[in-house]
Amino acid sequence: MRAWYSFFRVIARALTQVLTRPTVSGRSNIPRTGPFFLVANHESILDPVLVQGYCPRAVHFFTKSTQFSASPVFRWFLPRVGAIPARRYRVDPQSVRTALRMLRQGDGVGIYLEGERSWDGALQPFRRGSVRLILGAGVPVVPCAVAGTYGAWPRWSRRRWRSRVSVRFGEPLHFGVHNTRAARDAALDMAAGRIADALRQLREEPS
Amino acid sequence: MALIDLCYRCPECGHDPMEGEGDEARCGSCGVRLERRRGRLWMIVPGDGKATGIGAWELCRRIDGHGGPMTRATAPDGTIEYSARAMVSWRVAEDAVWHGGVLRGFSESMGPAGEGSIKVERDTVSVDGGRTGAGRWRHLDIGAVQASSSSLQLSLPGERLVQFRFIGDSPRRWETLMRRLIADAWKRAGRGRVIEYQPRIVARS
Repeated sequence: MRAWYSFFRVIARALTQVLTRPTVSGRSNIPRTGPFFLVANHESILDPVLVQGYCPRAVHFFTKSTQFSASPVFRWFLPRVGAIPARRYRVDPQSVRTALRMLRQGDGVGIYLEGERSWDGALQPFRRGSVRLILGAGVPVVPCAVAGTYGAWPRWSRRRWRSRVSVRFGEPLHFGVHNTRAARDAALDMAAGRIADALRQLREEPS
Repeated sequence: MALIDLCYRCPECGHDPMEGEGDEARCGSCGVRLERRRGRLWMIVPGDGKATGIGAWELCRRIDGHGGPMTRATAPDGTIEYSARAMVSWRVAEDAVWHGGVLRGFSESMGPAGEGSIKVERDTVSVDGGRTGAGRWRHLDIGAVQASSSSLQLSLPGERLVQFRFIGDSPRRWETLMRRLIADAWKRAGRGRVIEYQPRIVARS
């Protein structure tokens, strides 16, 4: 995966420099080694290109499973950029197993906790199962806030505008390991609140 | 996709539906216009003709303030009935995704789409997918609901998944409508307050 990932990351950066000229900060907050979660807000189709393009380490991102069957090109491309297919209309234990395996290998795993692009640009409630996965894994959680992509290309429009875009990686959050379902449920609202607060603060930081 | 998918009813007077295409929408009743220009949304109220910048979040809040999708779906006698034409497709396959000799997960394929319709009432949803299939289900039996890109998807009993691409209607309207009807059905059945709609419907008592 590494060679293809590095290749497409170069393409992503070149593309986004032309399209959006993003301001990127906090890349040093990504752990240099070891497993971590990267959690980002999702307001535009441009977000994955920006987040994975500017994250200094390779990240395996949960991706909706129907994307893999959208075309043969996607089916070839997505695994090479670390995508983990997730069936979103049922609990998908295989996607969780794959993510945990990546973490055990010392890799990063990315999640859009809202599960889908926001209709109105505001942060949506997080998927409870995704927050449980974070709490069960017990690895550092790096919040990544993308701002400006909703103005550039919201989900309801076919037209892209130039817009000031920023990608900000925040300081890792630590929740510890929650071994039981009861422990994860007890900590769920707290963890979701801390992640949401971190994303909102990062988004509001002046450029 | 278009601005009227986001703003399916007028944020000013509540008229439903809005008209327009692309990044423009207008109200056939009060004449309010909405436009997306230079990456921002602008609202132009007839009379002064002045364009005022407005956030999408604020537009959605105002639409919800006018009752969201429920007003148009509710008859004067309180009966709920609403329908739309759509291209209907069903999940036909699930394939393993391998990479580097390792199973990464499973992908789902949707079958060919056929022109059909979806209709909701207070307790049920009916699907007529033309040659692709048909059926009627209770809201209580729906496993999950979500808008994916420009379509609405419902998980049905028997691990069936059906997808609708609406013809002349808003997927956001339908996502909100289905969620409200399901939440209402769960509440009436004493199953609690729905707090999540996918990957499965979850309620808190």
